[in-house]
Amino acid sequence: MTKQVSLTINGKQITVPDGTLVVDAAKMAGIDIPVFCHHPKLEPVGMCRMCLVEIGRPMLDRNTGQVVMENGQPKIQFMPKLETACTNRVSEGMVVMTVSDNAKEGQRGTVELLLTSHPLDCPICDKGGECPLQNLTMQFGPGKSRFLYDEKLHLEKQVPLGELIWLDRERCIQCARCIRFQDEIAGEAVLGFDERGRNTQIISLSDPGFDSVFSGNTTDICPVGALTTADFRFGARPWELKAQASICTQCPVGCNTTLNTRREAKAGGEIVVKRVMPRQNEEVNEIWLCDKGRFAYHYTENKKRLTRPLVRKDDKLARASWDAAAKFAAEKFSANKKDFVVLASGRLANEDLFNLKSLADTVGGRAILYSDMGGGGLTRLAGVGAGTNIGAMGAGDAILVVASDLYEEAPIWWCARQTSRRPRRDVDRCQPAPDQTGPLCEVRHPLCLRRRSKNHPRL
Amino acid sequence: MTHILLRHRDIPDINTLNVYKKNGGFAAFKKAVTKMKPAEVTEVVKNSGLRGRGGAGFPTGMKWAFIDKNNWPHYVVANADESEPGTFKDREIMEGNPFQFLEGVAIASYAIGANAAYVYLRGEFWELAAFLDEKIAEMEEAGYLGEDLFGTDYSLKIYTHLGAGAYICGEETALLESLEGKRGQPRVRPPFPPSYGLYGKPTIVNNVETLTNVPLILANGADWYKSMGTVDSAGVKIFSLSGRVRKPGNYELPFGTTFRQLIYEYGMGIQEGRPVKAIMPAGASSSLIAVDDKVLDTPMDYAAVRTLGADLGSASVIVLDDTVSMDWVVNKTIHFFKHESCGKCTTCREGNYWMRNLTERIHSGKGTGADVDLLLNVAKQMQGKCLCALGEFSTMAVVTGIERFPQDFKQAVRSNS
Repeated sequence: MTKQVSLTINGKQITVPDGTLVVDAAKMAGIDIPVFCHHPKLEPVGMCRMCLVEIGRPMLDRNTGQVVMENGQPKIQFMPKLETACTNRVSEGMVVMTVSDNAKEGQRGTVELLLTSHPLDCPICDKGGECPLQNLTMQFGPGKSRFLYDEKLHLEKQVPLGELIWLDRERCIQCARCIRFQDEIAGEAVLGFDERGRNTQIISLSDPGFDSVFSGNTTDICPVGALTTADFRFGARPWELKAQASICTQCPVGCNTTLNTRREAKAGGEIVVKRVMPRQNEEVNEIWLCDKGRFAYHYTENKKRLTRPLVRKDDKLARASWDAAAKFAAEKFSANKKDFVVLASGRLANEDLFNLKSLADTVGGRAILYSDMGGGGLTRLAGVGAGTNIGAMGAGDAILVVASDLYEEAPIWWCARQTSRRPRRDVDRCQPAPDQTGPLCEVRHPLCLRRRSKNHPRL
Repeated sequence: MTHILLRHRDIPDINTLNVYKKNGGFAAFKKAVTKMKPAEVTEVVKNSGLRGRGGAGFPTGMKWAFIDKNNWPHYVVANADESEPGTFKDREIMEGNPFQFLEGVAIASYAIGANAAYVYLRGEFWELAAFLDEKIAEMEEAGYLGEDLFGTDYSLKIYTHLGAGAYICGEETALLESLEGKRGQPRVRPPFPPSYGLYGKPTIVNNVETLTNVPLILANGADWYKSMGTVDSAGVKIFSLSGRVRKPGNYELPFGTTFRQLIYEYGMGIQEGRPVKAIMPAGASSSLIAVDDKVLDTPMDYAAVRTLGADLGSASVIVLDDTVSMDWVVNKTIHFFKHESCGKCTTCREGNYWMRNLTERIHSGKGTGADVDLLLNVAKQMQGKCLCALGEFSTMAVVTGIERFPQDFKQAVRSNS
């Protein structure tokens, strides 16, 4: 077990694992330290200077190396300068003050500096209402600007980084979260900084622009309204939307999602999906979603889509209410218990399949879960399935990828494998065709080769 | 006096291998590799009292001793990015006395167990890089660099690397990032380079002038070196003198030489015989010292200059006379820092842009007293909150300028107040 370290934050004594960042330790104690560049999923960089706090450590005697005591308590030595909570790791006996006058002044100063270049266009900004900069300005910022409005730097406000993501250069606060996400999580370093100083700006380094299947995630972690999706921008205000928990069925990963919906006049007053957002599930998709899962929801708008139950009567399908349809189905189930067979597609979420199987079992029927996706039978025996914790993969684990191009077929697993590369994991591959998994692994599994020789291209 | 660093001024053609050898060249490196243990070399440098000449004045031997011995390989990086406005000493060393500098790099490499050393030069020094490459090739041919040096199993290669002309790359961690081929932006410290440096390996980054001292310290002993300079700051320093003096240039003098001696004896006084009004002892990063007789008679060493509310830094002494208004000076330095801020941290990126707007307003005569107060307030608000020293230093001239020369700023905004 990791060594535990005790420290005091705002007078509150807590014990956390050694190596925890001060900002995360504070969160465990229920204390929020404001951040912009820091993100729990990304490496610390200490760029935005928002999380400035006072940090003191027990004073050590130079000769003996012992803690100096004062009135029976360890003497705490505070650093002359404020320190960033996102880059300092906890140590035994540390004392952190996040709301002292000094710390508050530092945080206020940083917000003020950030706002000197910010266009303050919250009323027309897509992020308005769910914007960390807006929230932290209300909480920590000055009420009034000392910066002359006429001296604001005006930059391009509509820059397409690629087909899916737009950048507003005025709103960007250069926190590099998007760059770091592409680099560290997606493993597709297609964004970068250009120029320097106040001219620093985000650019796409790839051709075509922003060439990544994970690009939508950058708009989620952007702490301002600089990055927006072409799909949702100017589409709705966050507070008009209703959140509905769902599961993405585009691939076997089953990412947890939130559907943001609202009624729209142009849809005839019907409820429409405005956007799909990832929903945190550390065992499945953490907080990420691939672009297919995020943007490919528009099939729900197809006019031909079955949205109401139909009941077959005299060889003709007729509209029925949900209640009537359910009643009809229940009657049929009970009448033909012995011959009752449920056939379900692997496109359904595990949760739906489970419910369907329970139903079939209850009435004594049989459920055939047709599942060609995700490996079929072998997967059920040894592969990823119910109870698998993808998030727990770590150093030393071996990953066996069987006949799957993760990048194409299960992007978020590809992503999970990508992030677990440091420290490096061994990846075995049983793969008859070249794929994106290539660069990380050289081993071809003997099992796979044997199968292939018997004209069995797929396991 | 005879020079220790600028020896080309005493010995013609010392930038050729034969002349350098005839004048005791490479004897110190040979002695170190064949007769001394690496730790002994570090000990001699530690005892000499040599401090880093890049600006921070950190004890060199102590830095070498900090190298993490549980993580290999080790690297030596010579910081030849020399970009501080008013500093032009490293260039003269490398042009005039290149072998002594390279021998210093070699000795430092041996002392910390590095088999590769890099000389990182600012982009504008491309001619100098080519010149050093020739000198390194000559050393390799003569058996002073390469495999199995002097019949031992120690081997060393030195490489030059050109930056792309950014001031920030003189900051050691930004330099390392740039050397690794990345964007030149400072890293969060700690960890410091002796434990996490180039490619994440323990690295010693030393200034050109610092390293050039090393061969003679090893040849003549720590006590010889300590006999020069002051108790606080041992040895000699090259003072890059510029500004309103009659004879600007590099002057190699022992620490403890007074400002008066430097300006009047060596710099031949001020143009038109005017009085000295202010001194910037460390280039654009410097605090402005308001000059009186006491200041002029202050010995120049790290501790004494600090009593004047400034730092000696890289000792690029810029002298300003009474024709210069400090609001002009502040406007100049802030334009420089606004241009050179790397943009990584909010404080420096936004702060310098704001300060540039304010000084511009003040200097162009459109400002008010409130603008001066705001400028001072913004500068103070930035202090202690930047990611690296660039941002911290950008505020020095602003704060000291306004606090020590309030009259100049009142004058600048008089038409509006």
